[in-house]
Amino acid sequence: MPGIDVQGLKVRLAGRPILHGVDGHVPRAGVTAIIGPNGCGKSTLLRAMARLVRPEAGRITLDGRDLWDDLGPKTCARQIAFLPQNPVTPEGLRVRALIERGRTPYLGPFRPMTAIDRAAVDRAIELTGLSALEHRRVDRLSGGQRQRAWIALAIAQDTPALFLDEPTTFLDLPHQIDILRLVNRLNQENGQTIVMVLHDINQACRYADRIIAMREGRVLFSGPPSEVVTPEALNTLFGMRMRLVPDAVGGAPVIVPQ
Amino acid sequence: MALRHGATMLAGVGLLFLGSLLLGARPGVGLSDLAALIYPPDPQDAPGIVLREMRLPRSCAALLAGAALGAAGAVIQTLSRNPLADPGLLGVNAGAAFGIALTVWLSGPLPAGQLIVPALIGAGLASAVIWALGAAMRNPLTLILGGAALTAMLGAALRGVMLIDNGALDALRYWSVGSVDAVPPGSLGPAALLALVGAGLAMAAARRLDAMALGEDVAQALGTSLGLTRALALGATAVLSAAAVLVAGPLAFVGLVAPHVARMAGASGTGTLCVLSAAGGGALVLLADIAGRIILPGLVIEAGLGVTLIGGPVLIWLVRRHAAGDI
Repeated sequence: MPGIDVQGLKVRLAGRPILHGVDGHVPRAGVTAIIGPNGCGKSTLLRAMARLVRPEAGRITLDGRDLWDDLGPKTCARQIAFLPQNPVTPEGLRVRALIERGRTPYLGPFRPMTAIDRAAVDRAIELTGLSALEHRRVDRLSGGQRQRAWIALAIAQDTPALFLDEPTTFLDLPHQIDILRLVNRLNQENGQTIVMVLHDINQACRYADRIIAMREGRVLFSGPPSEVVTPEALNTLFGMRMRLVPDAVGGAPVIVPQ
Repeated sequence: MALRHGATMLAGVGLLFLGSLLLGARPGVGLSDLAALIYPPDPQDAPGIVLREMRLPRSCAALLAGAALGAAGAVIQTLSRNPLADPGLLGVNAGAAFGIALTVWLSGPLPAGQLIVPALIGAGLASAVIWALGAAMRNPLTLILGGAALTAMLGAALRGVMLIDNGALDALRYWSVGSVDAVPPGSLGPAALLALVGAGLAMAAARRLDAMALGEDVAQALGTSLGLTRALALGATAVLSAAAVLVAGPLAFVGLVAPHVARMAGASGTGTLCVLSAAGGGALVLLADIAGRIILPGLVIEAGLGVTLIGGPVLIWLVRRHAAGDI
């Protein structure tokens, strides 16, 4: 089946079990949001799907190919781009130089960048609207601009799938919406499969066409937000009574604590 | 910007090298005497002999050791994401020096080419130890403290050997301080070869280190193997340090200061940083050696002392910045 399939996934971090048998499906060219309370294992699931942690048991397949048995690190890096929550910004690095590093999976240790690489970098800069900032230092950008630069690195990686771990945390509301709209554009214009961990359940309902809700290392429910997000489901997920109000603008439900 | 500053730095290194040939305790060596280096040796030509026998080897050694340590510092600082890392302060140089000294003590004087092996083993073991320690030490300062302890232990072991065997004192004393006053005969060729290997390793690691500088998750997501990158970078550091120690003994602080100079010149990628740090390191040791020859007439101050006089305050400044939360 095209897309990403997770079967019986168990992951331990530093000896502690984090995921206790996760099953799930991420359809190709969709936008999937992973939600759940802190410490439920949503980041670990995303990192495992990006081939960053080796599972203890279970398997993850990308379009039918096993992430660990059938794909090497470089082949995988040409299929999935991953942006962690807290990437390290080296001191003094310029925006363009940062984005160029997104081409790493296509370059050998000594091969210089080609016209194809430069075109991919140019396109990423244009899509993220960073043309005016490409020679600025990344560590001196505002939070929203810096997040755009990191997303541009992932775009330059030119992969069918893009994973983002809480891309809107640390940003003010306008910049959060700005980033989510950019991600949706990447999905619609580039056909990229988007998987992101989101903290804000309203944003998840609004910007994702599929939700995976996790609690204590297991998937509680998953599916289109309009079908699976119910007051009862949210009560079990967060242990808190919630009310659903229909969203007047987009038709997605809005969740308000009771 | 990096390109323009790079050209300036390379020109500066060239001028310092020239200065290192012409300046010194013995006056009367002028530009016209440099021709002696091209022609066959003439035993009657005193300035020519000074140039060929003394000034040229020490200038080459200063340049080689400085460049190798500068590049090694750039690699280890990028790998550990620690602006305080330096092969001298971390004990890698001390490891190479101890390896050489132990071998010389056990088997008597050896040709410089054969000292490569113990130098490499010593530097390699020291980098492995410090990396094993560093993995458990996320704080930049604790890594430096671990390095200081390793350096002190290796230094004490070297002095212990010197105490046991008085006869070997002179041969061993050389390996306990960094200087280019008496470059071991025949060591320049093997050391240059070793430095080239180290530079090759550093260049092979450069793009991987660029990815690693963005954090381990991003590096892995970009398809970079963390283990291979660490192995290449630690290997490069050890080989470059061993090359420097072979000609100049254990010089500290060069690998600390040079990458900061290179960053001020605008280097951000690992490749550029290594090249500019090599230039900066070469310039630093040449400068320290020239100054040591002319500051006090009739007295030669070891290059290691001059480098420490510059590097010590730089380290304090960096630690103060760290305390202020800038690192």
